[in-house]
Amino acid sequence: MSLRLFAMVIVGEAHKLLSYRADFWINAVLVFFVEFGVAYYVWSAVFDHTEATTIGGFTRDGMITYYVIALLLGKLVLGHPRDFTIASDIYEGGLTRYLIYPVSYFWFKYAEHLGVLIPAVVRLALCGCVAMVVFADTPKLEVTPIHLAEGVVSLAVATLLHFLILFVLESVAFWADNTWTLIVSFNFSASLLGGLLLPLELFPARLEPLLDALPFRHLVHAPITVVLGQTTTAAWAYDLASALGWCAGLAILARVMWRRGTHRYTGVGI
Amino acid sequence: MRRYLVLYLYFLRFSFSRAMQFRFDFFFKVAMDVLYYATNMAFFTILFDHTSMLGRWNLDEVYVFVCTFLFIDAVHMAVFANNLEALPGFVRRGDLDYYLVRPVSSLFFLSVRDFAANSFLNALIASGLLVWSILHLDQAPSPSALAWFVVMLFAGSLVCFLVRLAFVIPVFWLQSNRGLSELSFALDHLSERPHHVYTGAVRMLLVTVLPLAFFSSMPAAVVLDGPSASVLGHTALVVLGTVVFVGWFWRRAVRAYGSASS
Repeated sequence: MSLRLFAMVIVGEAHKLLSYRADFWINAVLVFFVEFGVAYYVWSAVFDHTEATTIGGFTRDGMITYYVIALLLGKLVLGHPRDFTIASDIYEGGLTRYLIYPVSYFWFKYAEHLGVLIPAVVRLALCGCVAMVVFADTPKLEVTPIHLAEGVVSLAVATLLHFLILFVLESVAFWADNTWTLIVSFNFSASLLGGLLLPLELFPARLEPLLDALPFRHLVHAPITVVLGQTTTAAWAYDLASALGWCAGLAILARVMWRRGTHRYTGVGI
Repeated sequence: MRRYLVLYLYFLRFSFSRAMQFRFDFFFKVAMDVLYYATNMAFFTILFDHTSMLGRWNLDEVYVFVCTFLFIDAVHMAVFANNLEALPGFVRRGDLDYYLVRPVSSLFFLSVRDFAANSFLNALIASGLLVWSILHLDQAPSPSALAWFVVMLFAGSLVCFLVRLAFVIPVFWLQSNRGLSELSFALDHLSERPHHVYTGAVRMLLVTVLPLAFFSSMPAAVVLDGPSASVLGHTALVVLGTVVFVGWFWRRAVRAYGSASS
């Protein structure tokens, strides 16, 4: 697939989503502030009750900063499961036209996936600016160029990892009637074990090996710690290698499933 | 009334026989909801490793709140959710015509036609969790608190359905209700935390014009704090207000419906 076509698919997909402007503004602004508001009130109640000044290493302001970044980056990485169409392509027979296109289905879908994330980038910029003004009293993030570069790389790998996980789960549609439940179950797990609902620092120490062994923390928690400057370059490199290892493993699995699945595919649709 | 009851029994029969045709899918959906329950319970369990109270409730009381939420959500998923999800498609494609000309209330038909059998099983699981959480309390609730709690569960389920319906109805005027459905989904997060944690105007909003606190927090407050005339009266007013508003909104929407051209 040429780079030009790849870029055109990204732009086309983003354009399609941004054309529903009311939806975009509701999703970009209102949803962020509602989700952030829930976290803000819960943690305010917790800090108001407890006498401790830090919880899991987070001050009250640090917790607020964590959730602002978690919600913005979480949306950027995880997007929305409804935007993924591989299973419906398989069920409805829409995959047939991609099989005769002179492009790779995998890269075409990855380009679409990145296009879906463009509104989240706009949201990141908008809500990030607003949050910086609203929470001007909280300690400023000291984002160095190195943190920024590491954060961008972590985010890129996180979006690729997320895409590969969804690609594998949706490819189950070659064999099973419904993959929607798998995707939703994955999202529940990713929200909790990826650090979106709670910082992973708050989990009991005995669960650390489990959290380290699973891929979820690479999706949200790892990019956040990089942006917050809570990790060293060596630790970042180790995390990145681990995430890339997951990507490689999932890419192989996706390839095997694709080959076997397309042999079973009949193209008649439901 | 009898006609509606007979019709509903037919809906149930069709829904169960359809669900049993896809057994793998049926049990997968049950497992998915159990994972959702586990996620919610785990969230509060981990949170309470770092505090002893959330709002006015301790962990055991918050478990009652969470299980109330899970139960009302399971009832909503079983009875209403599939129907609300299908409604925008009916409006866009013009399929609503077939429901408007039938000799029964279109709102009734469209709201309860598809019963999610798997969520019925989840409602049983959630009710088991709810009983467990109540038995787990240090101080057992009084019989009157339990009786009013059951009434509040019905009220909460009704308000939950009506509020979510109110977010679907704008599809009669808008080309896409995706933004509103995202907003409704996000607003649901407000109802997943005890209403005591919110303060000022936000809490006022949640117990009046946007009555998300009635999805679980207010019913849980009745069984945990005991029923009071003010809370029960307030609930009656909110239920009545929501019924009147959504009924009016639905009639306006149906009048605006232009069949397949809308």
